[in-house]
Amino acid sequence: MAETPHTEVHAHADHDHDDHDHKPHGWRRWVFATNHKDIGTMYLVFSCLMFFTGGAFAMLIRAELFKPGLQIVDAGVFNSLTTMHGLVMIFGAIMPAWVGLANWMIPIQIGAPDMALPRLNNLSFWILPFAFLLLLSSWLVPGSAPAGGWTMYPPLTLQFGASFPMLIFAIHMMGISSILGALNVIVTIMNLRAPGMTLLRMPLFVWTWLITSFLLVAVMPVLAGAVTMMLTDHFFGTSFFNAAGGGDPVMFQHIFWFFGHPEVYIMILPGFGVVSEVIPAFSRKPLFGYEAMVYATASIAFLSFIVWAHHMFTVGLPTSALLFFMFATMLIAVPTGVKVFNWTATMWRGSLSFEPPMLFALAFLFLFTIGGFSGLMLAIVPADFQYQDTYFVVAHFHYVLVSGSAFAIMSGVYYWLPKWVGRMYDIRLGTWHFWLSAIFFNVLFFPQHFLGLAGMPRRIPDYAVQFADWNMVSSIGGFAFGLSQLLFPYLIWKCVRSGKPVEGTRAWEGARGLEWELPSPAPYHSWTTPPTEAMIARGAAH
Amino acid sequence: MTSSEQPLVTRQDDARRRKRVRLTTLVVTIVVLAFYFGFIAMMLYRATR
Repeated sequence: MAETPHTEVHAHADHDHDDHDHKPHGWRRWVFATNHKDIGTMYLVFSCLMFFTGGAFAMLIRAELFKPGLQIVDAGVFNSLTTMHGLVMIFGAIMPAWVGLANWMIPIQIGAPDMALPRLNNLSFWILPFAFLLLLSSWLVPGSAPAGGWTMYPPLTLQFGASFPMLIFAIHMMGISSILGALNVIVTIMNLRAPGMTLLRMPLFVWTWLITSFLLVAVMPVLAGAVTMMLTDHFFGTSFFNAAGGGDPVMFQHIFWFFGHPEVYIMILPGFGVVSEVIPAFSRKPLFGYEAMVYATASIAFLSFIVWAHHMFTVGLPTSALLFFMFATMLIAVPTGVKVFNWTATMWRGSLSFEPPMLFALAFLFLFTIGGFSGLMLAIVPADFQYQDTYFVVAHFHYVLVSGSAFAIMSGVYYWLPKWVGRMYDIRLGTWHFWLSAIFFNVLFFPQHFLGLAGMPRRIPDYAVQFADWNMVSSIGGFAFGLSQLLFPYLIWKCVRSGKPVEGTRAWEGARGLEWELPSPAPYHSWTTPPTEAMIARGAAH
Repeated sequence: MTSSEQPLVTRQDDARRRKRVRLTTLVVTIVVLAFYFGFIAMMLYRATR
């Protein structure tokens, strides 16, 4: 560290172990991990494995849809593939990736030595592999894997055989893991910030994660409650969602989407945080409108609780409800517009450079905005009656989630990887990864807008011949997009093995924040002595 | 890793900070349980009306 710690906290400077990597070795380091960096790494590796597992399911889906007719899988397996693809990507790839980034970055960005509850942190990670082992092993039981869609609507989902309890218990375990992770983030940010790190000095990534954690704490128990009620409907004779017993299947949809819509923002808000760090760094300018960004994030989070029924406009809601949910949904465009404006204004007259983190952040900005616009189209009730359950919806949410979450995760990994491993990766290979991803993402998903507008329903393994051409294009894009993702783990492996060591604390000229005050790679125990006021002020120069 | 090997936080306010950590954990846990049981209770109430 370049500077002497603040005098107020000097009493413990004799324990400044920043330069000493006292860490356990072998398997114990990982199984009994309590270090936030180790747990963050495990989350990220797990997420990568799940990304390729879910991606393999997507490849099979696109292979089946390459041309009309049934070629590779039967209709039941196809339904299982779409269901498992959704569950694995949402709960196995995207959410754990964000928790991994949170584990790695939040303590070092707020000047804390670790997460507030390290043992709970260990538990919340180690629940996940067992949850997914349970979920993925449902392929092996009679009746195969769940096939009712990731939304698990009853009565269809209640009709499954042995895979049903496996699905329900896996969802409970994932929910517990997410709740524990969110709890840890809230407690850490509220209590372990370094002296001088006020709330409005926190990096945007920390802010977006704090808000995301409150969303998680509020909605994951609701999902858990809903699936618990499905479990009792299936095994204990209750009729919460069983119309034959006086229950209401549509109520499940209300409860599910009360969870499900905030869940979309759980997957996207941390991406807003990453992009809000990356764009200023590669524009060599402070973020435009820091406080507005914080308030916009909070507004989006609030609004996400009052728009759930736009997912179910066609179930037969009263006109007043349709109007309320339509206008509430459109309101989200206002804080989102503030964000897009501020990111653009940050770049205005900046000294821009286009390394992989910036490229992925810019792709996020363009493509997420396209997804936002198609979301506005879907928010219009009469239009939604036409688009409901078509490939237009599939195109919309992939524009939101692949470019909004996956690209933002890649931007974050490319931005912070040199800090994690102390080595710079192959920028040229990362740029190749970006262009292949960006081009084939659009080849994959843009034609799905046309298919949806032409009336092709989602979740079908076979289709009418007039949809053949664009499906073929989409599948080619899918295979190329999937293959190009293999560059990502290769690049990371190459960086760890033989990347050029990073000189100094900053890997990027314009990078700001406490993480860039630490040596590279970040020491195993960081901020055992809190950062100085000058360090915090340098990082927080919004 | 044993607790003695844990990285140090500031000594002077360690006890106060631990107390605040426990309190925040407790409050968030209560919120989580309230949402979980609240929604189930709401459904039970609706079913028995």
